[in-house]
Formats: sequence, C-alpha cells, structure tokens
Amino acid sequence: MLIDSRGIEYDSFFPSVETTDGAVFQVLVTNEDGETVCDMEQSAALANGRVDGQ
Amino acid sequence: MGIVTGYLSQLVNNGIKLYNGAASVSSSNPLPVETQTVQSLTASATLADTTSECSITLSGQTIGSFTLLASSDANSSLTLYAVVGGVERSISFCNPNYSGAVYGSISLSANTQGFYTFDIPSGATAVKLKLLTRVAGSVALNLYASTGNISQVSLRGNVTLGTGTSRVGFISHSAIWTRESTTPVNANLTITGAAKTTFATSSGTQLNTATSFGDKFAAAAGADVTGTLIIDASPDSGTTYYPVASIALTQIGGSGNFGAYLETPVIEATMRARLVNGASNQTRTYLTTKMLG
Repeated sequence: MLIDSRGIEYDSFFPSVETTDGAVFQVLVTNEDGETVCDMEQSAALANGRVDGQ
Repeated sequence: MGIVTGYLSQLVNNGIKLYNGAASVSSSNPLPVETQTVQSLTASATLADTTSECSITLSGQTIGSFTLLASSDANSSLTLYAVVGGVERSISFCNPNYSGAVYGSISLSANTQGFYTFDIPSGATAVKLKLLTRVAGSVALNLYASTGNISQVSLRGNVTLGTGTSRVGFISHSAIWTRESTTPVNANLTITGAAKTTFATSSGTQLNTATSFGDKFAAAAGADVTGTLIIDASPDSGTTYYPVASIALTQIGGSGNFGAYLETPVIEATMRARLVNGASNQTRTYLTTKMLG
C-alpha cells in the first residue's frame, strides 16, 4: 500500500485518479464475481469534486 | 574360324539383345528387379531385475514401439536403449497420443500400462528395454521394430513448441491487455492505470515462464481534449515510479478526437501507464495497456 499527499493509503496495483497536488482517489469495490476492482466513476467523481472545491 | 568371325560380325553390327522370357526387354517388358524386404521384428519379456532385457537385433528397421504392463506391486523405472558402436545409448520415446510427451525414462507403479513409439537412430544394431531402477515387482513388455518414416521430431533436439492454445496461421506473443479506464476526468487530473507485474523474477534472473512479459509494455490513450500519455517503471515493486517515455495526445480523425500510442521495452518487473489530462475537462476518454511476452 502507498500513501498519497493527504496521508491516505491506496494500492498502485489498481487504477486511480490523481490530482496535481498528489491526492489519489481510488474506490475499491467487490464485483459480482467476487473480485476487487476499482470503481473509476466514483474515483473520478471524488477527484473532480476535489478540483472543483479548490 | 568362319563361324566365330560371323558371330563377331553380328555383335559389332547389331549389339546385344536382351530377352525377358520369350519377348525382348522393353519398357513394357522390363527386367525383373529383386525387392529387398525388411522384416518387422518382435520381442517379448517380463523384467524383474535391472540386468535382464527385452531386446531386438536390428536388420534395417527404422522405427519401433513397445507396450508395457506393470505388476500390481511394481515400483521401478524403464529406459529404452539403442546399441550404436557397440555401446548402449539411452534414446527417447514418446507417447503417440495428442500430447506427444517425450520421455527418457518412465516410472512404473502398480498396474502401469502404456504404449510408446520411438525412432531408431542410424547405426543402431539393436534396441532394448531395461529396468533402470527396481524396488519391487515386474513389467511385461512387447517390443516391436519395423520400417517407416521418422516421426518423433523431438528426437532431433527438442524441436517442440511451447504449451498453449493452438492457433492456425500464426503464433502469438503471450500478452495481457487491460482497459484501465473509460471514465472522463476534469482538467489537470491524471488517470493512472493499475501497476502491472511484467515478470515475477528478481534482478539478474532469467525470464523463463509463460507469464514472463519481458518484451514490450504498450499503452494507448484517447480523449476529446489534449493530454499526455506516460509509461512509468518501478524499481521496487510499485512503491516508487520513474517515467520511461511520454507522448502528447494529438488530433486524430477530426476535431475533438485526440489519441496516442506509446510502447517501450520492458525494463522493470513493475510498470504502468498514466494519462495526464490537459487544461480542459474530458467528456470522453480511454486508457488501455498491454504487456507482451
């Protein structure tokens, strides 16, 4: 696990969305096959919200 | 003297005429040709020690096969030899079914049975089956030798293709491709693809598995706005990364469509791709990666 600029853990072996200040957004969910995957829509929404809020 | 002179004169003037039966030799009445036949040979034996053998002395045979049936208490191994230059040489044999597995010896356990084929090397004067090891039991053998075309290609230096799904017409790299994301992001955000393990071996170790992707790492990206596609490599299994190559997304196929393809040699055991968005929000995007073995 890695730590982003906010001190929040994320896993680089899953995709993610990152802001210019090093905040990484990664929403991991379990799909219908029982696999852990990254929900990129939620991840992007959180990252977009951070940018909009800046 | 007059008769001899006459025959000599005929010989000089007419040559020698050959007959086959009552008719002259011609294309429709050729001279008889002796056909050399090579026998098919068989030997049978039940071996219960490492000194006995099931052997055939060869006389022109080129291929062979054998069947075996081990006893219910068998614990031994069997090897096939060809005698070349007076010395017993271990030779390979194969399972003639679709898998075509090649063996130098086979283990025999309770009631093991099998059918194997082999090619007889040039110069061999005999072929024989012997127990290489024996702990218990016996094995009943039938050994055959005859003539035919060489069929066991692997005899010539393991010319075998790797395992995998057979395809007609081409042989493909082993490869894994991934659609990392198709979710658009706002200006200046980065879509980071998942880190990929290109090979699971440590530095200085040979890549030798079907899941070693040691050739190329490729990435493709597109969006309705500009951006930059980057490939990163990690020297520490995904903890830190350094950029290897980058390329700007350029307009492709008309306004509002930007894309780029980028590939690099695989240089680390962990690699990834990123799409750094430009100064405008995306409404469409994609990022894919592929690693090639």
